[in-house]
Amino acid sequence: MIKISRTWLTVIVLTFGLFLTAQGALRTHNFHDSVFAMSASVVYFVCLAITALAFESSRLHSWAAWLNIVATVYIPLTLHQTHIGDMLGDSDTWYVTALALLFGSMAVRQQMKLAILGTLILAAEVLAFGGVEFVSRSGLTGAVLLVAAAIAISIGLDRSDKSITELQDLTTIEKRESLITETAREQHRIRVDEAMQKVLPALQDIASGKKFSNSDKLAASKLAQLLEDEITGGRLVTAEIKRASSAARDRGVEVTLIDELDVLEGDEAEFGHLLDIAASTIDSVQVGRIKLVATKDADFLLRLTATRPGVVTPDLDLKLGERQF
Amino acid sequence: MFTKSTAKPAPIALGRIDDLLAKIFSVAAAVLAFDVLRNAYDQMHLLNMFWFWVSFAALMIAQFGSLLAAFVFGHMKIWYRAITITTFVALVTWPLQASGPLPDEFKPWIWWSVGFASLAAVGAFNRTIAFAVLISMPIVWLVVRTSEYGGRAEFIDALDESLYSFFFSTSIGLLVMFLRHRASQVDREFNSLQQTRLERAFLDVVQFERVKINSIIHDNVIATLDAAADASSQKDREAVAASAAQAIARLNRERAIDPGSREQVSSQSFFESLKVSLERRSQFLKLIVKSRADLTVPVEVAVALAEATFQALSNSIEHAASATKREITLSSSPNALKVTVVDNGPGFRMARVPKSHIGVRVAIFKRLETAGIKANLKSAPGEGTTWVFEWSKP
Repeated sequence: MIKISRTWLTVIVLTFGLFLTAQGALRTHNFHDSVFAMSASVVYFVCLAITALAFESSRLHSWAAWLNIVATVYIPLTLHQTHIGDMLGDSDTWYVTALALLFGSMAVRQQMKLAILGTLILAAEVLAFGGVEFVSRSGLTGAVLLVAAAIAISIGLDRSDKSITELQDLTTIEKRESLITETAREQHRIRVDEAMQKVLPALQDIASGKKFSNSDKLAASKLAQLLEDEITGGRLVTAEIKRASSAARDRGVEVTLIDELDVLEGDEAEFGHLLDIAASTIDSVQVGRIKLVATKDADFLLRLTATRPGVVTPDLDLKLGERQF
Repeated sequence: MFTKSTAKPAPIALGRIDDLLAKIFSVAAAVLAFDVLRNAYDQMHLLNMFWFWVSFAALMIAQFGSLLAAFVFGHMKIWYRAITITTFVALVTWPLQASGPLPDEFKPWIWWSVGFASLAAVGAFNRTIAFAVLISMPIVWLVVRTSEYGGRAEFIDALDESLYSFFFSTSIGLLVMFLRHRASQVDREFNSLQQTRLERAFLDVVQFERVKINSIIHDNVIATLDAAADASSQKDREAVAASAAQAIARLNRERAIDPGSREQVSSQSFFESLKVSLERRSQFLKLIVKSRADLTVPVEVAVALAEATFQALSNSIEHAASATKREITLSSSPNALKVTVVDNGPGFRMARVPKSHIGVRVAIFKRLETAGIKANLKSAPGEGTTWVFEWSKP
């Protein structure tokens, strides 16, 4: 969600507000009663400080907003009534931009209606005290624009949030769909080609109906075993494990490979190193059965058990790798 | 392997914020242009006509262009630049306009554009240049204003105006910079989240394709190879040759499929062809079709459902040969498909099936899970076996 930062708003508003207050405070000699002129500056800065700093919630309390409205009546009235001669504009009309800054801050702090009311009162006062000619010299146009911009930004940010979320969702869906289609096509082609390359010669041989020699039968059986290993063993079926398993089976050892996770986690090279250790362990087993499992939830990554024939408890229980949770 | 995109994130939030700010700026600038226009009109008889019209027309074109760009054509940056540059050039070349004698209280008309032109620099340039403009524009104004060409204002009054312009444009400029920064942050956060989602989707697809091909290999190839290794008679060899031909045909069919085509099939035609295939596989089978609604089903889902049903039936024929009841129900509702395979054979405990026995795990559970189909098994020794496969339209 994009929001105007309270800290930034406070720093910026107070700095600009302080400059405008100083503009007013440095010109008290233009007024009949400098105390009244100074009081306008003090009242203004207190109101601005409350509007910018007070309350944890982003919404300004109503009493503070109403206090700003009262100040809107007091400040122009005091300054115009105590000014020596007519106000010519520029620095003596500091209060116009200053009050606009106050209303802009109110709008950002969710007091839009009162901010608009304050702006209307300010415009009416400028017209009443200075007449139509005074409007352009007072900077009222800029002041009204400042409040309007603050309101537009506040409303715009709220609306943007919804449209940003919708656009983000749409982008994700589009990208996801295209990724799924591309990946599915590529993976499908790779997997089918790989499978056909591996099994097609043997299947064509069998489909020809020829009589199989013992070595043909052994080759078919070994291929079936390899395919089963690849299905159950997933990531475990490296060249080294294939060699070790095949040699172990030739020695009469029963070998089972199970990959519980299917997806690679952690370092591929490290996992390969663990599999090399497992392969050399398989090489050292002469009888019985071996089970090599890539675990899913255990503290370790690989478990290799070797059990003698007729025994239930494994003689060797090797736990390899450490899972990073 | 999934490759994370290193490209700059799509500026979705930033684009929206820029759009909003451009609209607000251009409207405000257009309103203030009336002040510029009014003051320029009042002063034009005092100024050099040629230089006045060059500066004034350039600024008005830039203002109008920004309005059109914000609401119609886009490319606002060009117009932000145009406003900043024309105002800055008009300020610097002001002595060319004000070459004659000027009255008291004269204030160059370009003043009414200084604040907004400085602010436009925030949208027009990078931060360094923007800050340089925010600082230099009021300084140039100070020089012009105190000179004989700018009305010979008191230094303190000119400084007051320059500071006012600086604070006004810098305050709003900083807020704009903050909003743009926050929007970029939102875009970066979204991009990172999107990359994670895409990586997940990629892994799901890889897994789906792997399980699908594994399932085909298991159902069609491994059994054929095992049978070939065991074949001893001519009859065995003929049966195994037919099975190998079927496996080749299945692989060729799979090769011809385009998984990206998103083909659909009607549930009714799916049930009809599944019924024919099932009847071919077993004569002692009761088949019930309850098609209450005809819905479209992705081909991938239909194939997965069919293959899981074949596997469940094969298991029943192989492991529950003594069963006196073997029943398959195919049913559809407006939003779902359901296949139930029931036998009253000896039953089994799934927990007792070794992990290395892959028929049920790979060809049924994993295959269906990756295709988004729920598989439910109810079986216990002496209580028969019931498989329920359910797919609901997403």
